Amino acid sequence: MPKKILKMIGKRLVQSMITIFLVTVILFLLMQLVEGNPIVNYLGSSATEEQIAYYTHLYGYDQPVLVQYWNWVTGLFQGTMGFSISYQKEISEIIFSRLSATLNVVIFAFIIAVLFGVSFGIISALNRGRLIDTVISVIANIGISMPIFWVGIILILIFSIKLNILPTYGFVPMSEGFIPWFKAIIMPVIVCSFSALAQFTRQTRSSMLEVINQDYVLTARAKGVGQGTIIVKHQLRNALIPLITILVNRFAVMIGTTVLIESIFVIPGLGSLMISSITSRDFLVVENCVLIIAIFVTAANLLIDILYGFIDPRIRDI
Amino acid sequence: MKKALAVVLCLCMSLSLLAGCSSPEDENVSNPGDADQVQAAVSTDPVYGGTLRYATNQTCATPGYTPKCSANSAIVFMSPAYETLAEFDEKAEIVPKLALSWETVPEEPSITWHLREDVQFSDGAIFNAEAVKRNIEEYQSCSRSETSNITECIVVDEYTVKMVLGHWDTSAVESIGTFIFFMSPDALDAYDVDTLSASATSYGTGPFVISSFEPNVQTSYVKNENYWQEGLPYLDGVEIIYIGEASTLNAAFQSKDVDLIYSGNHDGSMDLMRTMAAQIETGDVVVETNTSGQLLVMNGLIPNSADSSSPWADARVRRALCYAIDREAIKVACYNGEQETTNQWAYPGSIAYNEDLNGFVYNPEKAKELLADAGYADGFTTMLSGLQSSANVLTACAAMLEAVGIHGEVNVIDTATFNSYMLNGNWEGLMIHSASVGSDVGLYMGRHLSYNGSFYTKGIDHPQEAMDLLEAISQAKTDEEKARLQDEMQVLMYDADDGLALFGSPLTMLKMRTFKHGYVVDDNAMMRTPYSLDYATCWLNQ
Repeated sequence: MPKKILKMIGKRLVQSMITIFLVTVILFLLMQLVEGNPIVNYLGSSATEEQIAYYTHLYGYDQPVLVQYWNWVTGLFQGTMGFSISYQKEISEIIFSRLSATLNVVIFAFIIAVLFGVSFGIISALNRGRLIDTVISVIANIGISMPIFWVGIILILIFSIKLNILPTYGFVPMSEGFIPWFKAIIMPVIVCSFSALAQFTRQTRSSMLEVINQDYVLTARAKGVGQGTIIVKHQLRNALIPLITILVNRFAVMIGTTVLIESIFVIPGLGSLMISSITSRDFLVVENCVLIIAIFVTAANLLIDILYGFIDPRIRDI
Repeated sequence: MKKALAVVLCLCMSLSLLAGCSSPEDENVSNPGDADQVQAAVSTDPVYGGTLRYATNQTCATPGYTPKCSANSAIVFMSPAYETLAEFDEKAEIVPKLALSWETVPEEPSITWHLREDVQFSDGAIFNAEAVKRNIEEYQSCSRSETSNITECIVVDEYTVKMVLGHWDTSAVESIGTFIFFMSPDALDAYDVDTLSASATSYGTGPFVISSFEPNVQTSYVKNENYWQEGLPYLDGVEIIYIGEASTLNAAFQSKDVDLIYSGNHDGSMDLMRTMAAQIETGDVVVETNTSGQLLVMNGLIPNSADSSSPWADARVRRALCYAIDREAIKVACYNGEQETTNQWAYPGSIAYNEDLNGFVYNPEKAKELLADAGYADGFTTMLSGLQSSANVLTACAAMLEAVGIHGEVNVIDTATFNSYMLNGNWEGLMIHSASVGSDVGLYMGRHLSYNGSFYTKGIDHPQEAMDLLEAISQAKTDEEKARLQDEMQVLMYDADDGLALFGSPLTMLKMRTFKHGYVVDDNAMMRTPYSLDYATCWLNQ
């Protein structure tokens, strides 16, 4: 791999690690400001002061903030995330089992959004001014403006209640069968991908339109290069630069915004875990969840920078 | 082509606008409040098999260790797997369950329980006096108020246990008999107190055994092959599914993805009743509401009277609050007229309800007089705190208080903050008061009034006359004496002229509804207490 690219990747990695470190510090401090105590919430109304003090000490919540932070961070490097009071389990065990459900939805939704969004965007750009362009643009605008909660409820009304062909709620791992998995996941995936697909369509169309009449495209056409090759090798590659930012960022954002989708479809994912942990004041779970999301977002931005370096050689020098 | 498309689009938009401006259709649906019903008797014999899918928005920290499950909502999760010494019947009277009978000796004071002899826990351990004693000790180690008055638990013989009390308490039978859910002693021995862990497969005497538990997701139960009631249960299993979102809960019921739902969400229940009115009419869907008045939830507005510098420390100001709030208007505005109102700590018509009480009626002028008398002729500013679900009630109350000169600031808080205020008594001004009601006023009010009570108690004053009366209720020698003293307590708290109004203004009794499909056959247990379904006798007629 060229030296410049390696140097660029190295620089971005260091920046990413500093970002994640700062996120952990800010997050931990913010959680200290929130009123409430996970021990008290868990023990309930019959807890005595002695019991609260005993378990507070046992789980280290009586230690200074800096010590608690240090224990958390050093635990991360040792592969442990701490112990959840409300779930009574090691946090990494909970998060990674929940993350699996979230990623099932998000990855599937992302693939659909990219495949269809980019395709529709290309078709729309190549047929600018025609009926197909209008139809795609209208659908894209509708997709962006429709609230996902409403879309979710409508899908449930149609497919679960009226037609009774899909389950209303729940998540089935693929290990329990492809059909049950697909039936359980298809509605959340549609909701999750809907506005992303619309956004990708619009952005692809816009980016393609910018490059469609560039000189190098006209030259390629004059040289007799086929239309397919022109689209893929010349137009799309140049249109990708602004598009990649949106695609990769959107993936990271999807991870963090599945809360609503998981709430509507009762999916035991990361979003619902965060909500229940906030309610029960299980701060350590919240901190670890946010850390995971921050890692995804940072990794996404790092990926964008690396991909830029490959796509556009001019950027490697920056 | 484009012009034609533009014209069509404009027409569609205009039609949509016109449709939006038209008045809504008259609803042909009958008043949902009339839909409460008792399921018609089924003529066929019970069918074995099937798994009951029960969805609810109630949660539980862990059903595997019952001493830690003190919230009423935890009963939903405990009752398939664990049982109590006694239970409530449809008249809210206590009847035998694991205990065949009991004797009380107020003079001693003690309660002697005679246990069933043919009961095993689901792990094979025997349910006997030793097991009862072991459980009582475990509950005491968790400082549960139900067992705090038991000084000694004596095993008289294998199936007789005598509980010696520190002082006689008329609530002891209900408290011990219906709120202790018995676990196998072997399971208790396996409990690791230091890690607060509890096996999800903890063993009780109930018709089912917990097979898996995931907080805020699902709890699954399988049939207890050792169940003491021969031939029962009919079901192979139960799944209690957590669905927090009200619309999804309703949708899951409508699509028959679940068989039974229980929701504390009033608007959600009303929506479902309207949507399924036709099925309710034909009996394909059955709606049950608690009719016994036992373990219902009363909502009110409670002032923080513990702070002596606060206006709410003055009883006149608290009475002014009660005169200033129009509970009938709140019932109509916030609940579409679907809740009961009450003027005391009891369900109207229940045995604990004092019909002769001179209760507060809406009278803003009287409220202003009392405020002036107390030195607040110019009013004052206060806070009204509550959950998001009570926001409209708080807003309505703030407007009513404004009319008498009290400027209220609505403060919507989350569940954890609400619990913190409730447990620590540190709310400012007023907050939503949620209280269980039942035939034993001394027991349920005592949880809020007693010095070692659990809820709101640190945020209210404890006048000696109230504490003395509470003590007298617990010491009553006969049911008649207890009933008389409880009536006196209602007067002491809620009398319009001299009431202490420590608990402020009671507003409504929450009508929690259970919806089940017609093929779910049980003995309508939900009408006795809102949290307990009789899983042993429940079966699916399909």
